[in-house]
Amino acid sequence: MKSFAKFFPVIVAVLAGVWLMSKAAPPSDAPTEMQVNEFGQLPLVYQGRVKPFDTLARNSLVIISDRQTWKDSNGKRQPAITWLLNVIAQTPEARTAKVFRVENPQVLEVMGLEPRSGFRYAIDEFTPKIAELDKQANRARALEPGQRDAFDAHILEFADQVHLYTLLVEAFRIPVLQGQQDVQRVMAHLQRLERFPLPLVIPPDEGQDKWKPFMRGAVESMVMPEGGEVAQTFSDILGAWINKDTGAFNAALGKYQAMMRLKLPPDQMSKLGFETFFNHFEPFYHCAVLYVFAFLLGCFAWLGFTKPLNRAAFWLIAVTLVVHTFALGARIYISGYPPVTNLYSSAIFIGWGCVILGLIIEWKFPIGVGNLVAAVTGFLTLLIAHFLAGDGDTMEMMQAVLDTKFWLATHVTTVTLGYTATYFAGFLALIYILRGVFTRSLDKPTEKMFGRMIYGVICFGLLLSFVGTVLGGLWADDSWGRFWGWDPKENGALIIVLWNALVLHARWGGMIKIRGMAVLAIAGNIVTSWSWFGVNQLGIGLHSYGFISSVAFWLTMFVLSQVVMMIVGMLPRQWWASSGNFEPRDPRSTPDALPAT
Amino acid sequence: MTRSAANNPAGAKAIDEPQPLAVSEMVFQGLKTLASLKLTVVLFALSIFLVFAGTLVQVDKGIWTVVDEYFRCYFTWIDFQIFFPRSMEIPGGFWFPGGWLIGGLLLVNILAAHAVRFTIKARGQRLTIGLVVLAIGIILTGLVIAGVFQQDVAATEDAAFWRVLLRLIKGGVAAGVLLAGCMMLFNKRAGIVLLHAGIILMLLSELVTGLYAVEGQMRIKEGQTVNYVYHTKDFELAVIDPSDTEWNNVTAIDENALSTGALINDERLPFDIQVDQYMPNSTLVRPTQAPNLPNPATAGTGREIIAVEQPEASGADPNQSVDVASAYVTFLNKDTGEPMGKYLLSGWISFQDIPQRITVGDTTYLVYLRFARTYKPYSVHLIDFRHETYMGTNKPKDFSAHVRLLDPSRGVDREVRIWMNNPLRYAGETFYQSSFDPDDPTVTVLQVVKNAGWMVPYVACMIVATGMCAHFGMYLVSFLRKRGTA
Repeated sequence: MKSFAKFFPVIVAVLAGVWLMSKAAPPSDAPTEMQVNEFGQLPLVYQGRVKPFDTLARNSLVIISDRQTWKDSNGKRQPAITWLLNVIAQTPEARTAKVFRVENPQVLEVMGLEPRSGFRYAIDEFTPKIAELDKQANRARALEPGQRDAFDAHILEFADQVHLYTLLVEAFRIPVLQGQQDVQRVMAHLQRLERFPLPLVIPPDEGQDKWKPFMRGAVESMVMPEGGEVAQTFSDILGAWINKDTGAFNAALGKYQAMMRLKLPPDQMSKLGFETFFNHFEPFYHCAVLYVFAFLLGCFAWLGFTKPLNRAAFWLIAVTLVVHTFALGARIYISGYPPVTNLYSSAIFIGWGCVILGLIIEWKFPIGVGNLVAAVTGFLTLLIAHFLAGDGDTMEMMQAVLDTKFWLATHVTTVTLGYTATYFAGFLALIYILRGVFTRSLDKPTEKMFGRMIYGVICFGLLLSFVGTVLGGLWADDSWGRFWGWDPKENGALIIVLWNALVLHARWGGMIKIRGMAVLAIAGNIVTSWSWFGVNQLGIGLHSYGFISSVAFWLTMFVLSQVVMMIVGMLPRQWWASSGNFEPRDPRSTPDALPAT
Repeated sequence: MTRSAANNPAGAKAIDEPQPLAVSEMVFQGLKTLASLKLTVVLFALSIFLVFAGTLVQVDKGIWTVVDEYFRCYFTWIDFQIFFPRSMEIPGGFWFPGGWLIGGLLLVNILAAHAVRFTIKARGQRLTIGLVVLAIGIILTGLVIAGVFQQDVAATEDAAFWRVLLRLIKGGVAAGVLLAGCMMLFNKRAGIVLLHAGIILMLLSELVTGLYAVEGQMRIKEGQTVNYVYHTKDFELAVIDPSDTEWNNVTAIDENALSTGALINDERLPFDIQVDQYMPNSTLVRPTQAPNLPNPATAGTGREIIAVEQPEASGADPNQSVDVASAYVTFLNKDTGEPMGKYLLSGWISFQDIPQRITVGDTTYLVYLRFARTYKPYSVHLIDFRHETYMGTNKPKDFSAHVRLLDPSRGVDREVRIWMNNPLRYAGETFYQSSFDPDDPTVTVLQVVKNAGWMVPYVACMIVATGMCAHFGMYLVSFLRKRGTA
C-alpha cells in the first residue's frame, strides 16, 4: 500500500502524458487515399494573415456549425477540411451536408424548417427562403444595435453564416467565359466580389506583394494562359476532388505544393504545417479535460488517501501546464503577437497564470488548496475561451492603434496577470468559505494559512494591476498624448487597483480579519469580471430593450453567485460546520491586525 | 504606532510639558484623525463608486462631459437612472463627492499619515547621508520630469520599445536613488513611503493635467501648410474680414457666448448677432428628406438644408464621434438693429469650407461656425501621407505622415516623420498621427497636445512600482520563510 501511495502520482502523471502524446500525433493520410491533410496545409491569406486552408475550414465551420467536424451522408464524422473542399469544389454533398446551426424557433419558422435534434440543416433545405432571410436581415441591420430583439440578433447571426458560405462558394467559383466579349462581364462581377473580404489563394508573383483571390487567378489564366499556372493547378485539384479521382488529386496537389515551395519562404511553409498540427491537436480542449480530472482528484483527496491524491493532482496539473504553456507559445509563434491580444487569448492567459500560481501555492502549502484553485480556474477559463472562440479566427490581426507589440507584451500582459491574481485570491477565498461553512476541515492553523495565501496574492495582484494599468496610461500617452482619459476600459482597470488597495488598507488597519478579507476577495471576483467583460457590454448592454446578450447573462449569474457566497461567508461563526474548531471569541481581545510594515 | 507620545494620555503629558505643546498635541491628534486608515478605506470605497458611476453614465453622455461633471469637480449629481436599463424610467438622484474632493482628501489623508505615522528612524551620520541621497533623488526626479534629458525636436526614428523603455529607465534611476535615501531614513517602511510619494505625484499630475493640458488637432492635406490647431471639444463663431489681401482679420466668438437667445454685441464686429437656436450636437437633413420640418433660415446655405439637434455623443459608443454644433442666427444692423437675414451656421457646412457671406458696406465678411482654433508661431507642411491596411482587409495597419516643420521664431526648418505611436515632440507640444480622412487619402489628422507634466506618470509609475516591489518583496521573503512554521 505504501509503495502504491508513492507511485500513484507518478502513474497518473505518466498516463496523462501518454494520453496527450497520442492526441498530439499529427494526422496522416493513407498513401492510397486523397491527401486531404496535405491539402489542409496549403497557404492562403484571410483576415490579414497567411494561414493554412485547415484553419479557414475549421474557423468557417465553427461559425456556421459551432463544431470543427461534420457528419457526411453516411453519418460518419469528417474533419472540417473535407467540408471546405466540398464547398469550394461545389460538390452536391456540400449542399446536402447538415451543418447550418439554427436554434431560434422564430428563425426556423422564417426559414421553413422543422426543429430537429441537433438543430443542424443543409443549405438545400432552406435555399428557397434565402430571399426572405435577406429581407429580415436588412430590416434588423437597419435598427440601432440597442433596438434589436433576440430574434433580430439570431437572424443577423444566421444571415452572417449564410453570407460566409456564399462568399466561400463565390470566391472559388471557376468562371465560365462565353467568348471574348464576356470577359468584361466576368471582370465586373469579380470587382464586385472583391469588395468583400475574400480568402486570397494565389500568392504574389515575383516582385509583387499582393495575394489574389482564386477567381481572379482563374480569369487571368484564361486570358493569358502562361501566367495562370497556379490557378490552373488549383482548379485541377478541385476537379479531381469532384470526380473522386485519387490519383489526379494527389498528382495535382503535389504539383501545387512544389509551386508553393518556390513562392513562399521555407519558414512560412513550416509554420503552415505547424498551424495545421496545432489545429488538429486541440491542446486547450485536452488541457480542459485534464483540469477536470485534477479537480476530481483534489475533491477525492478530502475523503481519504489525502496525500497521494493531492500529489497526483499536483503532478497531473503540472503535466497539463506543460501542454497549456506549449499551446500558448504556439499561438505566439503562429500569430507573431504577444500572448494577449483579445478576449479569447486573455482567458487562456488568465487560466495559465492561475494554474502557475496554484502550483506555487500548493508547493509552499501542500494542503490541496492550490491544486483546487488551479484546476477550477484552469478549466473555467478554457471553457470561457471556448465560448469566445465562436467568432472564427482567434488569432486576428490588430487594429493599427493596438498594433504595438511592445505595449501588448508589457501593458496587456501585466494587467491580465493583475486580473489573474485578483481572481486567484477570490477563488482561494471561495474555497476557504466553502470549507469553513460546509466542512469541519477548517481549523485555526489552516485559517491562518488561508489568510496568508489570500493576503500575499492580493499584494501581488495590487502590484501587477497597478503597473499594468499605469502602463496602459503610458501607452495612451505615447499614442495620442492623453495619459488618462477616464474611458470605460481604463476605469475598469482602475477599479481593480482601488479595490485591492482597499482590501489591503482595511486589513492593515485591523478593520477586517481573515474572514473579512476573504469576503472582500470574493467581491474582487465581481470587480475583475466587470472590468474583463462588463465594460464591453456597456455600449449595447444598457441600451438594449428586453434582449440581453449571453455574455451579459452569464456575467450577471456569476455576480449573483459571488454575492451569495459573500453572504454565506458572513454567516455567524457558530453556524459554520467548522465552528467546533474555533473557541468562542473574547470580544475584548485585540484585533489581529497585521503590522503595516 | 511608532511615536510613543501617541500612546500616552494627553492629560498625563500636560503635567511636565509647558502649555504651548498642548496645542501641538491637539494638532497631532487632529492629524491622527485625518491620517486614519478608516478614512483611507472610506475614500477608496467612494472613489470606486464614483469611477463606477462615471463609467455607467458614459452610456448616455460624452466622455468629456463626464470628465467635467464627475471627475474634475468637487461635487457631482448622480442620477439613479444610470444604474438601470434605459427602458425603465427612474427619477431622482443624489449628491456625491466629485473627483477633486475625493482626490484632495486622499492627498490630505496620505500626507497626514506620513506626518503622524512614518517617522524618520535614522540618527546622526545615517540621517545626514540619507537626507542628502533623498535630496539628490528629488532633484533627479525633477530634472527628468522637466525634460532636461530630452532633445528639442524629438522626432523618434526608433521603435516605441526603446523610447518608452528609456523614459522608464530614467524614472527608474530616479526611483532607485529615492529608495536608497528612504531606506536610510525609514528602514523597513522605505517601500511604503516611496510608493505613497509616487501616488502623490500621480494625483498631482492628474490635477495639473486637468487644469492646464490643452488638446488640439491639425488637419493637413498633402501640399498644404497649417499654422493653427483646432479643438474638437469647442466651437467658435469666426467672422473673417478678407479685405486685407495678405492677412485675414479673424474675429472669433467663444462657444460659451453662443447659447440660444443670446445677443452678441461685439465692437470688433460690423454687426450684432442674435442666436435664435444653438445646437451643441446636430445633423443636417435636406428638406426633401423631411418635408414636414420647418426651415427657419431665410438666407445663405440654410435655405437648402435643415439642421436637427442630436443628443450628445456617448462615451461608451464604440464608434465614438465628436459633437458637431449648428446654430440658427440672425445678423442685425449695428446701428438700426434691423435684421439682415436668418442664417444657418453649422460645423458640417464649415467642414466643406463653405462660408456664409454677410455684406456690410463695401466689405463681404465670411462667417463660419467651426472648431475653435489656436494659432501657433510655427507651421506644419504635409509632404506625404501614407496609409496601409492589412492584406485583404480594411483594417488599418500603419499611417505615416512626412512633414516639414517651420518655425521662424526659433529658426527651425526640418523634415520629420510622424507615424502611429511615434509622435514628434516639439516646443512643449507633442504631435501624434491620430487619424485620417476616409474620403481623402491625402489628408492626415494630427493630434497636438500641450501638457507640461507629460513625463510625470512615467516617473511616478516607476516610483510606485519600486516602492511596491521593495515593500512586498520584504513580505514575500518572510512569507516564503514562514512556510515551515505554517
